[in-house]
Amino acid sequence: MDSAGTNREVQIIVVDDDQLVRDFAVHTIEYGINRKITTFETGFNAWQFLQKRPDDTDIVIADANIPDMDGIELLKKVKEEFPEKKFVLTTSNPDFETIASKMGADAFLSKPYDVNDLFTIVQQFFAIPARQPNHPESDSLESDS
Amino acid sequence: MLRLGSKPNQSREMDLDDIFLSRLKLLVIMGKSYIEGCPCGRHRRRAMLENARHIESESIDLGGLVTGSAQPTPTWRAMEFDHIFFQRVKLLAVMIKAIGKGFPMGEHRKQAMQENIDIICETITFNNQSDMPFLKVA
Repeated sequence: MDSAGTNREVQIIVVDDDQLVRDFAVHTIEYGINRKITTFETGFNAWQFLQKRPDDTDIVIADANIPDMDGIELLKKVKEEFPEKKFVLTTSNPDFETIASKMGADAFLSKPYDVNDLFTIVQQFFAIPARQPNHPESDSLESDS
Repeated sequence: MLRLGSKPNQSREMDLDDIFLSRLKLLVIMGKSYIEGCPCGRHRRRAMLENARHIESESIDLGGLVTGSAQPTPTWRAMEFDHIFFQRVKLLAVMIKAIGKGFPMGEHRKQAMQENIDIICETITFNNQSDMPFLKVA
């Protein structure tokens, strides 16, 4: 339930220019929450999306090393303009941890990461509400067994 | 701030080996979740199909490595997995694809999948001790 008191599902964007890593993260998170994830290759495109549709994103998972606008700059802009949004910075550079903390990142995900790390993020930040039958990006869960 | 992932002194870019092993773990989780009766939805099924397809295609190269017909491959693939292991991984991928497509699964199929997963987990655990905690909870 959001601040307006209405039921609304958490929405996520993943930003990484490495398709293999991005697809792995997307498939893991999609499996974890049964919801479609929006993806971008560049920080600039992600920022444009956030500006145009600010209500369509609750959590940003972005790599630090992405084209046009790097993850640190994207983190800075997101926290300045949308401080309520959660931001997870992923990187292979451990030096960014201090910077990410200072800039208000909610989580720091050091590469290489694996399924457990992504599921921990899912459990930490994704408060999955009860069934939302009319939501376009999600569907009901049915048991097969 | 939540801190996850590798330790600072082990940070590096993710290569094909990392992706394959992580996707294989995800495949095992998908299989075990299904056996346990966890519910599936449209997006979950799609993720299962995509993940299984990726593993299946990568396992073909891995299998070829054993017979000497593979393309040059990254480092961890030189680990001492045997040919049957890769065939078991491919089999699990096919099983997960079947679930993703909604094909019926009887008790014997579920049992076969459980046994296949157990053997895959044993092999991974033997070859990579760091995966042990994950495999215990998967």
